[in-house]
Amino acid sequence: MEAVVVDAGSRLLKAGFAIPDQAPSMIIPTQMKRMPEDGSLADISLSEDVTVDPVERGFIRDWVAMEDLLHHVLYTGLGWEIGNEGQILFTDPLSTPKAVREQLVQLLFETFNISGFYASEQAVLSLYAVGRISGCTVDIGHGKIDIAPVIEGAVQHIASRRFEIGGIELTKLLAQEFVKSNPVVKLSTSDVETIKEQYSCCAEDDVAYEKTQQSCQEEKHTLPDGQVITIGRERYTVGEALFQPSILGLEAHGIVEQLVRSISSVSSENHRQLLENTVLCGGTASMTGFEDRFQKEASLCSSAIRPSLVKPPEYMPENLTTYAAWVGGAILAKVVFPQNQHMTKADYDETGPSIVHRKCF
Amino acid sequence: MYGGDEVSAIVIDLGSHTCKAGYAGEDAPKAVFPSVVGSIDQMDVDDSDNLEKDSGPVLDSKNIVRPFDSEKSKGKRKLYVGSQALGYRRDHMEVLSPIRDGVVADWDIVESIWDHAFRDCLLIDPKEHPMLLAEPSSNSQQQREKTAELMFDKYQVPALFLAKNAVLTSFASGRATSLVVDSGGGSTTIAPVHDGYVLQKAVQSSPIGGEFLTDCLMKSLESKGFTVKPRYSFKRKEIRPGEFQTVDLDLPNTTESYKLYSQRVIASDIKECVCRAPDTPYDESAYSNIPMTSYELPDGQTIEIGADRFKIPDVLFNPSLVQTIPGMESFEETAASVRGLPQMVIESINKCDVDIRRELFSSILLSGGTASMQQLKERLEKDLLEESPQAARVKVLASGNATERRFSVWIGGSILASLGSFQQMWFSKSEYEEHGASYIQRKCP
Repeated sequence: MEAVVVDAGSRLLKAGFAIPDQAPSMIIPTQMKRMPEDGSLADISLSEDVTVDPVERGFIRDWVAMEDLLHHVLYTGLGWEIGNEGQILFTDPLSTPKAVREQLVQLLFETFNISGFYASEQAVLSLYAVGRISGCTVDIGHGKIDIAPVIEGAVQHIASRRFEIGGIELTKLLAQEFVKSNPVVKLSTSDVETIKEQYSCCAEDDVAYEKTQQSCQEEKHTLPDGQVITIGRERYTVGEALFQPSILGLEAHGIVEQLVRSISSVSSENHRQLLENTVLCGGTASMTGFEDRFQKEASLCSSAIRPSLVKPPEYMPENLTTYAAWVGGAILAKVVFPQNQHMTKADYDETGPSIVHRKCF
Repeated sequence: MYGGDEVSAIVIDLGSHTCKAGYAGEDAPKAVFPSVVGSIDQMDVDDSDNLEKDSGPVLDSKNIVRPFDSEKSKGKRKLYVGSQALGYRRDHMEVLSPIRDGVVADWDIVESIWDHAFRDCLLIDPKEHPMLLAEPSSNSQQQREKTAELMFDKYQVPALFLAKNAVLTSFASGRATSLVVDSGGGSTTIAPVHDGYVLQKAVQSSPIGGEFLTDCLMKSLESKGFTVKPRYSFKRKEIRPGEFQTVDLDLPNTTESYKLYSQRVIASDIKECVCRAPDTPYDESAYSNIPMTSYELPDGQTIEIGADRFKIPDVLFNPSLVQTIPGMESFEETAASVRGLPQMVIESINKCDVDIRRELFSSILLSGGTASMQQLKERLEKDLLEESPQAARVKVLASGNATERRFSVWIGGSILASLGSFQQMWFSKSEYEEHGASYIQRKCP
């Protein structure tokens, strides 16, 4: 039986058997709703009554909810049988505390009784997905942004950066802007999310952005409950926030500037390799016009070598940016598990959860 | 007695230039960031009339601040720690260092640095991890007690240990006896270690460190007409496709200390890329025809560096060279009393017992950021061979990997904290509560 690869993001959980050149078979929202009758949690993400987010900013916070979610994914979604569990590969964001990893391992081995486990960092996996082992990953997710230079499969922790901003902040920003421009319309968070995904885009450069702030073509969008909302320059504001975080009220540089600074902390012999193999991944990075704007800003950055984006290979499925880490995990799973480099139940029984740090880098 | 179990210890090395922090048992620190902080005095922001003087009590014709008020105003400053926060330019932000003349002067800044390391970089709760801190080889009892108080009272750590930098470097190379030459950002310290203990009377220290060399380089470049523009002070515009123009930004509220800090970052990168220790003592005439190396500054300007490549590192060996660099005359008096690296090594060894001198000569360890300069090891060995007694066999050891040399103190701490036999040596919280902070002298020799 194939190994299972699970990429638990703050918004979407990607899971599937390790078949590399396909999309993951399950892409479900991580958000769960608490059902009051029997006290257990079900996997529906609808209204805002009592929603539970087991994964916050990339890290697993609510272990009870996570257990239920994994139960649903593994047994119902992927068809595992109790008593015949297989092997799992999990993806970790940058700077995962050791305690979180150990707890995950404990959960999987004790409650789910899996036979093998491996964990790897999302930055490295996204590079594997585009066929590289060295490069720089810019992962713009729902709960966080990770910028990580990777050299020959090893993440350079000293140079990597993590920001606690992501798609969730952009959604809030869009909601605020709508309150200003469409005061009558009532919007729920999930409505704003859908609008964001459908309409938001990036201006070509900051001069073009200024123009849109003054005058912009407006579109009308009909919400599921019948209300009509006018969307104008807010679509560009959302895209611009990544390049000018002052729009979000943060004192930080834009994404390209952060990338350049991060790479300049690595020793100079690797700069060329890192800058020429930059990978963009994550849900928010698939915004219309984001890549072009990124390239434009990159060419403005004052360095002889400019960051250039890697094109995913042709045999990879479309929309690789949204689940590049999962695909990389599938590739890695095909290498690690057959060669017995993973952590087995026997290892866990003998040494305990801390062996994960020695077996999985 | 603290019985260490599966929970890993955290190793922190707060140097004068960078702070290194990470889990014990790993081979490199996870968090490396500058050990200076940006500080904006809140009184400045509220009181828009006083624009010039920033940190500290403000005294002018409008309001006379009394001493206890100045304490309050100092408490109201906002600190920005870490390379991300420091990298962003803010109005009125001063760059402050907690360490002055080798000792910690401002404990608030140290607290904020530790907070940043624990909560933002490593994402841990200090209550659950024993802490191993690296301290300078000549640390006073008062400093150690204050560290212990801060760690136990504020952070509630379960156990603590303070180890001397030189001892940790020694462990990192697997030796119990060696002479450690630690050339870091703020200073160079030479300390002999014998059986895991530093011989205090023979410790030599000099203020010439990486930052001093960076300043020399900056002054030298300025005298040749090259200005190092900090990263925040310009912006590039595309006027026509393919053609770029650098535009200078005018930001009047940027403090001098921040400007200097940003320039130093660039200058130290130049120093690390381009400088090499010369094989023979620097001679103005010999190096005048040397081919130039070019370096591209962040704003696109390319500079050519020739003789400075070798002159700047030679300041370590011959401090009187500083007088020949225009702009560094203020250091003349201090430079006169400071001795070069080989002389300090010989002096240090001569202050030790005759019996161990041979062993010290044959195991001289290099550590610290400045020690990872190219050709430094070879030059030091050569100079020492000339100056040492005939019978001594001189061997300078340095790990080949530049990262290992830079973090050798931290790596030594990582090794020490993960040893099984070390687990009984921790200074635990219960011992602190029973005996008080002064007990640390007995527990951490």
